Amino acid sequence: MNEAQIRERLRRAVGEPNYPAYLPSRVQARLSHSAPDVSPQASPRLSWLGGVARTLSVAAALLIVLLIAAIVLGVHVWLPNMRHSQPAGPGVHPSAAPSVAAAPTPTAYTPPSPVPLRNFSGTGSSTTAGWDTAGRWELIWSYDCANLRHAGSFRVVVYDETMKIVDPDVPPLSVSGKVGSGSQQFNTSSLYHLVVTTQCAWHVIVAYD
Amino acid sequence: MNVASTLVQEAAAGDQQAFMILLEPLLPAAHRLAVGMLRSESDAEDAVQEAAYKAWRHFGRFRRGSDLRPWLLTIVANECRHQRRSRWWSVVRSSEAPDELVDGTSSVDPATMDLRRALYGLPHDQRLVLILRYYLDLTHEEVAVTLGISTKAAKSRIYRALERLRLSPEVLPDE
Repeated sequence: MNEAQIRERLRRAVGEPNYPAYLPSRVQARLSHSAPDVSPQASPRLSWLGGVARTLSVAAALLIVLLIAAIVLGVHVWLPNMRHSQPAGPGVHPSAAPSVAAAPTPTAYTPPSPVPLRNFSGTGSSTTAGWDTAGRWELIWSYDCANLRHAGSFRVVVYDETMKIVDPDVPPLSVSGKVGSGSQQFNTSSLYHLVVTTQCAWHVIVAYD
Repeated sequence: MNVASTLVQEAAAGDQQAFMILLEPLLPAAHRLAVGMLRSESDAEDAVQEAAYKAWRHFGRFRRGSDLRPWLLTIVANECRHQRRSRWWSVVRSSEAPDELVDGTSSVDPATMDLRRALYGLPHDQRLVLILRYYLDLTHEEVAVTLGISTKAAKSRIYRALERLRLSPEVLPDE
């Protein structure tokens, strides 16, 4: 097949369009709503600068986005730290609040954990075995009345070996509700045991403070 | 300095009338290319209009002293590719109605219909070289300039496209 035959066949396949006489005016109308770019022939540097300007504007937009993200992130990290580092007592001047630069690392303060001495748990009322202490100690308690499907009560009384209530300054623990937990500190040394009165599941830890 | 150079200079400086004087004689070829590529008169008009707008917007990039026609045809070809990509429904429509004729005639022999299907099944670049060469009657050199490739590469691409259409050519003339 020669070139002329190929041409003829392809033209037949595509068809012959009619050139629309209105196309120039349509193009003209489209152009009249625009302005050309600056000519690099007249000023090659301007075109180059245009490219640089476009790149810079994109970079600037990216920087702004990063800055906003950093601010948002910073607020999220900084605010909780501020709450933790609020001055606790009087006499602390507000200016003593740590600055952003001097802000402590966001590791939370962890008090020295008590050393467990006894571990008691059960469901319903109970009297625990005794134990001996020498110094400050702590009663860490929790209860859960999920088995009752309603609120219950939880009462713990600490007795010494003579069946006296231990520390008169510390009232016996008596709470109610569906679930609860807490702790009490004691300063006396003796041989103790607990009397737990409840309908719920409970857990008590006796620990050196 | 001749008239064309003056017009190019004025167009580059922002003279729209000068640009239109340069552009208008090239619009029939641009339209024909767009019709050949898109197989739809209305899509072709849109493509030419948009290509002309882009040519005007970026006229500063046109190298003085070079031929305006291949430069414009390159923009039109790119616009046709862009239209086919962006209007995914046109692809669906094309596949649904492959026998639609540009000139509105409906009596087509089966061989021509097969060739049309094969032509529009070609990748953009292969279809473009055939349209430029056989539908716009560009020389191999002009095809090469329009595509931004060497004449040898243009010939090779034309040959491969023809082979794919099973229009095995005789040895391509060197013109």
